Amino acid sequence: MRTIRLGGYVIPAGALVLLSPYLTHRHPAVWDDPERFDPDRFIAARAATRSAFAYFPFGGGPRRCIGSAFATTEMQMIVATVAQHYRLSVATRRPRPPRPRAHAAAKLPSLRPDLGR
Amino acid sequence: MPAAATRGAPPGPAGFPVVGVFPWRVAIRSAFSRNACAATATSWPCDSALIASICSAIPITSSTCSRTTRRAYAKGPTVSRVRPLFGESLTMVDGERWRGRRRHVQPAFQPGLHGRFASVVLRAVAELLDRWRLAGRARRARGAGRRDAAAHPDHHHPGLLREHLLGELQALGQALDAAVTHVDRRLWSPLGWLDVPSPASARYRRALGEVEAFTCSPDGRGTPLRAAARHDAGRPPRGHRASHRSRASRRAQGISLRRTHDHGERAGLGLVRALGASGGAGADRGGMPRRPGRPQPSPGGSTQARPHAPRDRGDAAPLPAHVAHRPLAR
Repeated sequence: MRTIRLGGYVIPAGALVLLSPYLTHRHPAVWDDPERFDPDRFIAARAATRSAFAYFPFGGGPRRCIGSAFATTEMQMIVATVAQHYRLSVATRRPRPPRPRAHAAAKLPSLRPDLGR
Repeated sequence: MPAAATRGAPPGPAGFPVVGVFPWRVAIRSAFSRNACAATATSWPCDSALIASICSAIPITSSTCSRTTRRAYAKGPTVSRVRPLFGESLTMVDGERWRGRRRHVQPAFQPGLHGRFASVVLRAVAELLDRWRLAGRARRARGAGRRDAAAHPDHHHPGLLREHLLGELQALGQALDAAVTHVDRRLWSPLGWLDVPSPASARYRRALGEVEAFTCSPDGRGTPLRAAARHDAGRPPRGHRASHRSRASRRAQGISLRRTHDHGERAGLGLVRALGASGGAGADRGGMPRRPGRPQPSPGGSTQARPHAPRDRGDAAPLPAHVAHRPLAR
């Protein structure tokens, strides 16, 4: 185990590195207008221009989620089926920021959408 | 990274998102994530670090850590709180044992098998939409407005998938919900590491016992309860071998099952549990109207066995044989 320099930062040996997909997926240095709903940003031509780890909801490397391909297929099927039967609309314009849940005992924060409850 | 960085001076290239540097064993303030998200280019210096922790949103960091750091996902102490539920399954182990588990379950996730699962997903979605439709009618009858799906996540879909894969197992759904709820509560409780006898822990252990009994069933999908119901109804159990009949009979008489120590079974158990992590009984409690012709749940949440009636699948495609009749993780 040794100290390394990564992305301009010195990571000391033994440091705990937390990877935050939430932040990466919304960071303006990685995405243009990250908060805008723009499904076209995932078309192959545009996806090829950015790092594979700009979008990593299932992690990556050998520990990548084993069900990632299945989950993606399932989500596409669900969205397609629901969209065939329902017209979805935005229920409220109120922002729904993530609500962190963290505690000393749990060590790590977890983000969940604030559903106003 | 120097842990004693000056507050307000990010310890890296300006504008890049190191958002948190904090000692591992110091309580993380509840506003940490909110602040981090609001200001993704700020640092969170700490005065003294036992172990430096770095929260990064830089893709290259994610890439390097995920691909080259073998211990990037080393299990922390929190794992002990979920181990009784997930056992020694894929998400719970490390090193060679993890590699073994991963190899074991990998075939079940091959892309070529997704198509065989498609009909299950589509039928579950169709049923979910049926429930939405009925709920919409009820809301309109009451003069209520549109239904906010995001504000009422009812987790029906996992429960429906579980039903379509494994059958309508109300008791198993209730057991899974009880177990997962208990574990979730312990995860977020400051005293969650304490394992003291209490009514809640007793309920949790009972629920685990029911789940364990299900996963020990001989055909990988029948339940002791269902087997007991068949036994009570005078019908032979699903299994044709004498050992199956013997085991079903013992279960019907309340004799406890063996605990499985087979790695494959244990690994598969994680998948079954994940499928049932929420839904089922929880869906019943959500007040959603059930499809006509389907039995209503008993008011007291009874776990009494009842005969398994064949599901009305209409003109749906037959359940994929691979998914329906074989252990999921083989």
